[in-house]
Amino acid sequence: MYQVPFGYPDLVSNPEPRCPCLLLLDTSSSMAGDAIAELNAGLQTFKNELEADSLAKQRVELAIITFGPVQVHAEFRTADGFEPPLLHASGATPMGEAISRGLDMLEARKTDYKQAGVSYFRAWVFLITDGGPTDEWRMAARRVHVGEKGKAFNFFAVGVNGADMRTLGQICSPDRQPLCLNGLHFRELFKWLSGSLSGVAKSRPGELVALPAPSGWASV
Amino acid sequence: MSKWRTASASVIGTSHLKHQTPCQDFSLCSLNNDTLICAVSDGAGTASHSDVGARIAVTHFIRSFRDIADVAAIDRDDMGRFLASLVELLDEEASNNQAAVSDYACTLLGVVASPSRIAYFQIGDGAIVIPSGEPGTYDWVFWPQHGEYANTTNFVTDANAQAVFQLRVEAVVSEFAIFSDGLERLILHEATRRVHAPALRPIFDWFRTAEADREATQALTAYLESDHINMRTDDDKSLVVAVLVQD
Repeated sequence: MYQVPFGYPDLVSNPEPRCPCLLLLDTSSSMAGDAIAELNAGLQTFKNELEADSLAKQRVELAIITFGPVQVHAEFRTADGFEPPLLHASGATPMGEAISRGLDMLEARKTDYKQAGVSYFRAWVFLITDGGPTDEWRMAARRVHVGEKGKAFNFFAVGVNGADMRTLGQICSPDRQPLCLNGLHFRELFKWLSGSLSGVAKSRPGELVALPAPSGWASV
Repeated sequence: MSKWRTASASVIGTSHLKHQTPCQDFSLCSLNNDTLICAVSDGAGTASHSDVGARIAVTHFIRSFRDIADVAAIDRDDMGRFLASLVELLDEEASNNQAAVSDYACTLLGVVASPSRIAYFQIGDGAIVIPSGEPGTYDWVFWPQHGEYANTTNFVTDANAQAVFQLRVEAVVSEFAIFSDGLERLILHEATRRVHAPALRPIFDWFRTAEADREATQALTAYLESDHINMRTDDDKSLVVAVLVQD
């Protein structure tokens, strides 16, 4: 075999580009029982799926905010160090505050990336609720619309049985209407989410990532 | 008398092999009397004919500039006309194949060098690297065009291509390299925005000892096919190296 005639050059190891994913999870009292148990199981699936993908786990960064009341459970960090919190249901549904807090966190994270010279992909924000906001949400909805339009992030909302889909529809961008979760298929949802994020986190310039259809867990 | 020792290589990425997609990179150098013309193009990932687009872009660049009388006079108008004629060619190719011109989306990096002047052209990602003031260190000519996100860039077929292409015409240099996106993260240090000189220096040094362009091309190809590279990138990658050597 032909040998490379020069000594192998020393190459750079840049940090992996990051794909931030923010989960906004409803933990209000109506989620108590099977719903919160299935959501917890779904998060465990999410961790396992991402961990099985050697590149995605270095690139996908997760943050979790729950609402009922608003609490930051995980700041943005790569999936290889992600430990899903055990969520408990209690309280009201301050969705507006959770969205605003989450988008603040996302903006701060992007500033970190820029300062560290780390390249990144468009963020995903994933809201899951079984109710409707009990606080002021119109300001948060405006930020969602502006952010989607300016391609600052992709905002997805998923309504669990009993969710106020009309208000969710107003929070979401007109181009990306909320989905209804079939039953309590959280595990299928998180499988889909990890698969989609893995695709995005490996995409190269000029690649439009085709999202798999949310089959098996959602209906529009 | 000095003359150019040049080589170009484009090698398919392991992910393209796995998914049985063609190599979407293309690169070429051509010496016509005193004028050296080199180009590298990287076809867009999901554009169905971008491998053809990349080949057309590179060959059209070389054809367009191989008889240029005065490199020093190349300006944005010339490059704008070249780009328009390239899009016209791609458009023609697209209609012959019932495809859209965007199916031929690709980046383009080009160099035209005379004995005294050199022109650098870029649209999209990848980079051209030249010697800096300090011996043994290098500067990029244009930072790769990535926009905000890692997976976005500009293509010759984009509507705003005429506005976003970059051009510099300067005094000629003694060596340069051109590489596509696949090698970007192995050669450029993103946090400091500097060229990692050790990533290129052994290649430039060896080029001065190479006996012929053919040997140099074989060496570059073997290097791009090596595990040393493929452990670090699964993308297609191209590398052009040109060094002025004493005859």
